[in-house]
Amino acid sequence: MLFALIAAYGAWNGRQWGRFQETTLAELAQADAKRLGALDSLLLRAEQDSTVLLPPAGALGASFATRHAVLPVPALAVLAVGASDLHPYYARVSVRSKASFMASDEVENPHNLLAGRFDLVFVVVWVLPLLLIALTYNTVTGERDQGTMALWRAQPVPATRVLLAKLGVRAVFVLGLAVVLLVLAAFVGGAPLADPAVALRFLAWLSVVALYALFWLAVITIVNATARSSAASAVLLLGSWLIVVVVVPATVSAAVAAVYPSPSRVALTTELRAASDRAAAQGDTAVNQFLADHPEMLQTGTLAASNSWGRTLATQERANDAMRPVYAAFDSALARQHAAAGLASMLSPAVMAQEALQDVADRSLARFRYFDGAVDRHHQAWQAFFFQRVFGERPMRRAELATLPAFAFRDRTIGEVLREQRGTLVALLLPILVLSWLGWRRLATVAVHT
Amino acid sequence: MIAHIARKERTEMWRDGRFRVASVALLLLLMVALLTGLTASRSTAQDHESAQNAMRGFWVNQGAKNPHSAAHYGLWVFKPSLPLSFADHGVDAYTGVTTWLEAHKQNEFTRRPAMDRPNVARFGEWTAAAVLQLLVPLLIVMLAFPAFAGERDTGTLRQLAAIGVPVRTLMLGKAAGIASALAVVLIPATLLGVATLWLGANGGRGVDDLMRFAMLSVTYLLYFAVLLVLALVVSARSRNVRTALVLLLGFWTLNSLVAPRAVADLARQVYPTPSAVAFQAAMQKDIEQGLDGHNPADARRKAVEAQALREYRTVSLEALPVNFDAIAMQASEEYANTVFDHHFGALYDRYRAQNTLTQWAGLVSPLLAVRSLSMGLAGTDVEQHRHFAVQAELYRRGLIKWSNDYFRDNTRTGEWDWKAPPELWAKYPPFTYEAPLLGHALGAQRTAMLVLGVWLLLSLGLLVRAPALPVV
Repeated sequence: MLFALIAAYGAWNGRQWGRFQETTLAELAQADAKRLGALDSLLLRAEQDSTVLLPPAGALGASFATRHAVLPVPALAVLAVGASDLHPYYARVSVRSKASFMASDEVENPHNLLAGRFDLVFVVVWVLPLLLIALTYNTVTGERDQGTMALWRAQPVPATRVLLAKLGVRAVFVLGLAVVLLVLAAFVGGAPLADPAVALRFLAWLSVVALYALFWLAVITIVNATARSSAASAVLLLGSWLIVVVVVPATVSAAVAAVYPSPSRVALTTELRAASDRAAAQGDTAVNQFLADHPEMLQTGTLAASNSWGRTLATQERANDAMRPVYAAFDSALARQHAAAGLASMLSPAVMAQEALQDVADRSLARFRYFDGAVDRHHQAWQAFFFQRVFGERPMRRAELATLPAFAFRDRTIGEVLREQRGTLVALLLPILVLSWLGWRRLATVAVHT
Repeated sequence: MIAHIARKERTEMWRDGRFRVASVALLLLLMVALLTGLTASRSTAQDHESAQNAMRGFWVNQGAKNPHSAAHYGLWVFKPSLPLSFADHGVDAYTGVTTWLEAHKQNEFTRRPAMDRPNVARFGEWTAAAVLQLLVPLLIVMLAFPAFAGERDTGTLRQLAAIGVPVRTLMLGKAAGIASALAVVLIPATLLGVATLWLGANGGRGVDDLMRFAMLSVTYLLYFAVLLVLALVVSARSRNVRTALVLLLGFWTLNSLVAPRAVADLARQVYPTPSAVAFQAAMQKDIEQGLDGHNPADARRKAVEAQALREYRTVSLEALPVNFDAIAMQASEEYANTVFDHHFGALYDRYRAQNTLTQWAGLVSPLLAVRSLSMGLAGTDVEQHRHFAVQAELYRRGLIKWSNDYFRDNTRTGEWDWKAPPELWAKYPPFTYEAPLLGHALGAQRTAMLVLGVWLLLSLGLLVRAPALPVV
């Protein structure tokens, strides 16, 4: 009953957040349509009347023609908020440098970000093991405490079979309950399960839940077979929970941060400013250097003195070229840190389960990285499109509106996600196998008296 | 009598190897947490300070420039790391650490450190605060759960009752015993904290920091006292050891790990905040159409124009001895500032309402109140962030006004190509940030203190009513 309430609350939070994002994206789409509609009618008037002044191509690429690159709200948003409370899910890509349009974060109380969201992934990763523990911690010790163990151990049935059956019944009950609630939550939360791709994804998600529950069942079996009393069993199990869910992750974070310190984004901000200032101070030298590096941009051979957008963008790109190695060093330092963290996190099945559950629900950090990559590629295409027009001093035609680079983002299929998560899944599976084998052996020799 | 009971408890615990291991591990963990906390907050402080100096350098050396171009160039300011942040990082990883101060616009803070962190980081950090909030309470539960229930199971409780030991005495004795065992961990930890504070003292206000640290220590001590009494009462009321343990561990789990998230989501639903898009659009609309919707920007500009002409007793802008463009820009800055104050003020008030609700929820889960107080005292809460954001914004407004005034007084209308001398920029003082005093920090924590007081009274009441406990 309590668990049902908790699950409903988690699903509700996921759904509300999904709706909030959908509303925001709809507002953005509306604003984009309005902006492009206005541009379209302006271009139409310019075609009919040569006295109508058009904004320069640079201004079109910086604002008038821009649209938002959008990371869609996933179909299974009800299952997870995941990393999506922290990372931007849209970007208004322009001819300006990336730093100018990726700076906008969603408005959020930092206190809530610190706490994290009460979503279904949290319910599964943190609360579900507690429910399992509460219902099974005295499966063996309880028999001993009541003295019933001595009775049936006299019978010619293997202890392992009886105890596993007892554990199995309770586990099936908890898991069955969890699955029913999760399916219910997905239905009520509006996940389009009729779509086979979504249904498959949800099935994969439930399988990860089952895998994680299996890990805890293996732990529970061993502890049950080892503990001398029910109290000792409860303490040991909660201790394991604490270690897996709190101690190991926090220690991994601390250790990784100590060995691979985070590169400073603050330093990046000052370096970008220094590079921009240098490029601006070079004036014509920077512009000419950029044009010499990109001869394809110019059709006339020189940049007209009146082409202020051309000068601005050439200077900007000079600064960006100078920043490229700095960004690369920053990215690779960060990538090293994340790789180390990923490897060390394998010590905690809770972190593995969280990662897999978020990724299958399309709410993971990994998905934001893909989005970021897609935005980068789109940004390049966008710049190329407008740079040709700015430097070639070619005015935009109305017919060309249809040929504006469009942002394309394709979510990974469930097969691709699972392939990427195979390390995570193995890291989850391995302790299950080892612990089950140990548990099996321990059960056979479980003591009748302490 | 109380001393005897306490000594018996202490001796028993000390003989228990598990307790020795646990307390040594806890102490080690606290030491590591304090030291890594100190390193982290120092390197952040240095990082931000050198960035701040670099930005000042860029500003000062921007060369001959039109004052308005300089205002557009602006500068970035960086949030300093306060002296006590080593003990509790609070929301520091989840607020942006820098903002761009430029003409026309109050920008939001960007570069949240948490955005660069790996997945596992969202599971929590090992700060001193985390150890005090999660592990010490767990140790208290582990020490206190068998206090009565265990003696009841073994039958010694009946003997004690038979020789006429009052329940209150028994309870006080056991509390004193467990407290003295905890002191083995907490006293060195506190000393270590003071030493860390002293080590990390980077010209902070010594007295204020010490007072903050003292209040931080008192907060945690009171919290531990409340937990100790609760645990003893549960132990006394439970039928057996197992029930006591399960009840206490259940409470610990809900209190420390489930409640913070559950309440954060509740607070978001009760006091929703706008999306970034809606927030920006609302400000844009108010700047264009006026806060009341009937005072559009061009009408405001006409009024400014009329006033300038009246003031200088001329009939045309060309005849003005000053630059009207600068006057108009400053007027629109000032109007925008009222809009920013309105919207950012409302947003931060929303955050405050959410956080106050979280503090009230401390009535159910006392840790929520303690967490809030801890962050507030360490200077790593949302209110501290707001204080910095407001100071940074005031600096921006001063800077922009200064550049507009200079532009106004030294040029005539339309002289956009005019350039101010390169040595001008150093004349505007650099941004310095004075962190607020203890009183400011406590202002936002009134509810948390009240809630902690309620829990304190409750546990005192439980102690007084101890004789009514069904001991045997």
